[in-house]
Amino acid sequence: MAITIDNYEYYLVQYLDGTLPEREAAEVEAFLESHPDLKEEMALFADSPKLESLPAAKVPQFSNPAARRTIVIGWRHYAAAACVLALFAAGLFLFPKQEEGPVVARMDTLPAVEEVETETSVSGVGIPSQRPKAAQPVLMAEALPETVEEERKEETVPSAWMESVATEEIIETTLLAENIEEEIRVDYETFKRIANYDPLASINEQSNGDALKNDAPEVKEQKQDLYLGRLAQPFLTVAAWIGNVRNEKNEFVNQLFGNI
Amino acid sequence: MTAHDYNNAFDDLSLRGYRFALRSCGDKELSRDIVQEALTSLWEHRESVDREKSRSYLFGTIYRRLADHWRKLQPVVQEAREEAVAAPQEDFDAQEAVGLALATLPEIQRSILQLKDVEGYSYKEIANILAISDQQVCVYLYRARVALKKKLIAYGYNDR
Repeated sequence: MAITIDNYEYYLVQYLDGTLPEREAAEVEAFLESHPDLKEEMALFADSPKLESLPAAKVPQFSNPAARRTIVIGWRHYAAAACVLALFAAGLFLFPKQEEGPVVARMDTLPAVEEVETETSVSGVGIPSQRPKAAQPVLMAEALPETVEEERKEETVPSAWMESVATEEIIETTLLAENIEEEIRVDYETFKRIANYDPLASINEQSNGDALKNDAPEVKEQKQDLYLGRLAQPFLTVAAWIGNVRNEKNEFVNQLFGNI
Repeated sequence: MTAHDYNNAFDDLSLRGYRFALRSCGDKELSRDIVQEALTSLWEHRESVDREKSRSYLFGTIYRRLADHWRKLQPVVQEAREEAVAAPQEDFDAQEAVGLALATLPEIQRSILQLKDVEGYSYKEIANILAISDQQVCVYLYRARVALKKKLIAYGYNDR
């Protein structure tokens, strides 16, 4: 068996272990004589410490590459984080939290619809609504349900706001009645003045008609003015004017058809 | 091997196998897993494994698992060895010097050193465990010892 530069290691190990036969050991010694560099190398091998005698070394740990990879946080990461924060802050600044947004919308829309309905249904006379409009949103906000489903349910059931509307309607109708009384009274006075005839004269004569009857026309007119009050004066003038126009028209018609 | 033999092998070899795996890969969890798998495999194959060969079988299984681990992490292992080889030749403390010197060795050479020096196995048994020939074991052992000694001298470690 020839010892060469390619297989000398095995023989050297065996040689140093003392397990080689004498003949092969002599071959190894001869081989080492011709290769002085290998002699030094063999000295290193023989001198190499046993692993157990070495201090406990930190064994290189080969874990998962993904877990082993460390992420170095550079300026790009900080810049990205700053951009996200800036966008968030800008969003907070530009679009502030609208706490009562939907409530405001309901207060704007719903009472307006209800107003139209009440005006058309109740009066028919065209009296402008005299409800205090500033009070409505407060009532609405108090009575507004949280969810849309409850809101729809509320539409059928009379709510607190609807009750308040009802009371306001009663106030309106009373006002209307007072107006009608006033109008009737004005009409009556106007008729009495224009036609120079008092349908209630007989009644007045029974009570206190003597005073009026005996008065002079000027005094009578003054008393009428006092009686009607200053408020009725414009209505009276307008009514008198209308009556004059009617009389003129009648005269014109009479002239026209009278000739025929 | 019988269940009794298996129990004996378990008592004798489980800690040894764990030490071998841990000093080969450095990962405690991985070492426990590997030894567990190897012992399970030994139990499953207890009918076909002789009592005398249980040690070789167990360490062989552990080594194959370790080899799989190194193969999976081949780039990382390669990078670590290159880093160790490229380490500056200056004086380290003893622990660092030994660690760096061992890191420069191929895994199979480190395993051979481990099995020979720590576990005290024969060349024949090491050859069985690593599934290589006796001559290859001697060649690797020779190269490992020479390289280790050279590196230790370079890193200023003196064991004397």
